[in-house]
Amino acid sequence: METSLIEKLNKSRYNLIKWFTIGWTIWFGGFILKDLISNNLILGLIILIGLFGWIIFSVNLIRLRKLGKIVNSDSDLKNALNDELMLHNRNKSFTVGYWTFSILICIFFALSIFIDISTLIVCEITLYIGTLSTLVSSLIFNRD
Amino acid sequence: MENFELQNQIKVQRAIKNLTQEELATKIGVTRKTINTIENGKFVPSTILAIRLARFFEIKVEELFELIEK
Repeated sequence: METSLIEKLNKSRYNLIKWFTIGWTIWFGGFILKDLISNNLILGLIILIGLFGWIIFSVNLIRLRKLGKIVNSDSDLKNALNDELMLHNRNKSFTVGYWTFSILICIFFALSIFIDISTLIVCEITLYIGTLSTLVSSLIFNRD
Repeated sequence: MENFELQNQIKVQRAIKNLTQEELATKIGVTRKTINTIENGKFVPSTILAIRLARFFEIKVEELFELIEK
């Protein structure tokens, strides 16, 4: 049986989110780790892996733009791909992200009373985990 | 609302019209997963989608969806 265009694009979108998650994990994870490691060899390796993650992330941005062009050219297709289940799942993912950000801010705020933490590290970790939680929850809610 | 369960006849109506979930999804203009989750009672559709489904099957909404008290 031939798969409909809606299903093909829905699958492409899911794969895009999957690769965004992988790219973000490697790229931004490496970006945070580079500030914490002093060994030059390990640092070089982390930068190299991080660069690989950045490439994955950037390539997916281009693929997302291409997918967006296809979807936006047909309003029926756009409506079908953004149907109520998709919007419901998107809301749930953003809720997960919101609570992750809020909880992390509370944790770091509490920690800052006892220890001295760099503002940059706090921002980076909050952004990293907050975004990752949104992406991972989106993959979980939208899985087949 | 936890004391109620929304049951539906989508699977039966699909069988009458000899349609797969994907074919129905394409005709209604949603994804296959949306039809699948509604059919399995995991997702409660909006009134608009429920009416669109009922119109497609040419039956009343109450015939397609039934609210059962647990």
